[in-house]
Amino acid sequence: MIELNGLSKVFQDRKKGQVVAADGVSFTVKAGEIFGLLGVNGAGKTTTLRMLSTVIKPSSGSATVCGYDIVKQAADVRASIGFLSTSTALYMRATPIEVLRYFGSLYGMPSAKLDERVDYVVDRLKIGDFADRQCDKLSTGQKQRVSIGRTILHDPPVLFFDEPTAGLDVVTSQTVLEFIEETRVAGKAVVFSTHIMTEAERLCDRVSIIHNGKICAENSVHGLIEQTGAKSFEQAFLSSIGYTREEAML
Amino acid sequence: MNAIKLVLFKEVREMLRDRRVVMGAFVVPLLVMYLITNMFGFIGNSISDKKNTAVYVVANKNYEQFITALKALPETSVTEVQSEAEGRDLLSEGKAKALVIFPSGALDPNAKQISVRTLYTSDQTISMIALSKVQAWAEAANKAALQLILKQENISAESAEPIKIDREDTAKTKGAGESPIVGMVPYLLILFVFSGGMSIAADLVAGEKERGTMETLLITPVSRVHIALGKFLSLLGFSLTSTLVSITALFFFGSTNATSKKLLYPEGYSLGFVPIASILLVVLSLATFFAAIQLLTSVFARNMREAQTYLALLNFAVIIPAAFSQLLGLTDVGREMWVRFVPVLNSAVSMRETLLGNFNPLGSTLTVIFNLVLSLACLVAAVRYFTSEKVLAKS
Repeated sequence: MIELNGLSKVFQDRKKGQVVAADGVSFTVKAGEIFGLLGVNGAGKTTTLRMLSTVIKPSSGSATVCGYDIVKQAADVRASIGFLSTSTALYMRATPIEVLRYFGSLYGMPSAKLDERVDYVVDRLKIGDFADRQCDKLSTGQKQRVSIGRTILHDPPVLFFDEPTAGLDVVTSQTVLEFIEETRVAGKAVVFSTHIMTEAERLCDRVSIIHNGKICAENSVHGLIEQTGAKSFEQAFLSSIGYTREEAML
Repeated sequence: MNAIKLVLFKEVREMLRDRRVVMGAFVVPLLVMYLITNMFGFIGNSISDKKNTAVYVVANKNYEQFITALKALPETSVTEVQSEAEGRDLLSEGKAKALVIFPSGALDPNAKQISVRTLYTSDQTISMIALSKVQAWAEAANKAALQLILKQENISAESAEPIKIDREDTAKTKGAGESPIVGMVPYLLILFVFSGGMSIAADLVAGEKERGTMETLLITPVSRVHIALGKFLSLLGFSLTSTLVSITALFFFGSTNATSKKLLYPEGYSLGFVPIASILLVVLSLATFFAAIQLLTSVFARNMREAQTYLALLNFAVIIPAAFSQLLGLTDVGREMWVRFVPVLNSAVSMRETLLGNFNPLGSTLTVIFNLVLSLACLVAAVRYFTSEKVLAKS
């Protein structure tokens, strides 16, 4: 479903010069699998997901999503994916129904299919009670349910979640995590980016640890604990990125 | 095309739900037009109100006939006071706009000229108007006296005026030169077109970057070119609608208020189909240019605040030539061909000459073409920036 081969991204910064945000990132994700992309802030998770979603182009390397090349067949890739993060917001002056219909139309869904999917999403995510209220009047949890609805409306086979619970309360986070678990059952290929270890332990079939733009380790959660000889997944993560107490003090 | 339409309709719907935008693009221009036309009415009433051009004259029995003639001045109230001191007090209090003082003592029937002192306040325009009325009275009296002398001496009136000016107005639109509408319309139209789009431009792309909806939009399979064009068309449509509302309001309120109508169109005013079509084409090309440059600004800015700062600076670049256009009648610049290649000023010149009845097909065509070339350049730059990854990398 998803295949990355040495994907790199270099940004030009006026002050810092060349900044390597992703450096030869490679991994594969199969259908029905939740793949965790773990790293600290600025590790390169968002850059990798942005390249996969074709928002930015890689500097080198290649990747395919559902068999489509992310550079040459960008529109096909975008039609095959759903993307959710806490930074992807809703149109505050539109109602949830309008948001869903707008994005469904942008995905080129035929009218009858769109009606059917909107009904499904509204029912499935319990949006009905506030479906005609403007988004700026919704609670954070309600907004996140609408965002999820927007992500799955066109029933994409591939889903990207970029720190989808950052800044959310426990209950709202739970809704998001439960939804991600369900996507595995539905046979979706999921890339889940996070720096919250408990979420990765709960959801991910396999994880890659990315640090300074490079993949430092890839395994299942338990495999990584065994591989590093750590007592917990958190320690395994810290060990993988070469964390030492002295380094942290600096 | 479907995607462009989708983005366009969505943007228009969002704009119409934004109270700030509706206020800025429709309510405020309507209010401004109402106030401007009423202001003209107020000024007109103020000038014609006798109380406002109050002339006081120191009572003098010896000059009774002159004072009686002075009291017959049209649209002026002439009141007698008993002393110069009393008159000066009224002048300093602002109640008197001019004080007329005839010489003391008896009127000398053999005197060739009498000196009438007139006190006024040069820092008050209304006082200068009162002075000019007193001067007009004196000139009329002098002319009557001269004609009487000439008649007594059996000399024809023409002999006293060896040169006579025969005026012949060649203007195609009679009275247009004096009409404030000629100076106001190009200036206001330029401001309306720019401010109509300004209220939404910052929000259109920079706002989406800031709120995080831009990334969601860019992840859809729709071409970024279509998204940018949809946003451009919504901006263009909105500023044109806002302009139409403002200009309709100007003519509506200007025509319904009798005093302002007299001031705005002193000798009546009408335009034919071709001049109106020409002005509309110039406005359309100018609106296209403004929409394109505002979109470019919004695409380039990292957030709303940055976009609003750039747009405010751009506003100055628009206001300066627009304000200068009001003084074009004092220069010959309008006849120069290079003006057609100066953004904003070219549109002001074209509209002004058309309103004056001197429709210049070549000049107006060059203005429209140059505006469209600029629009295309800005739109291409905006779309290129929008399709590059910088549009997100900067957010």
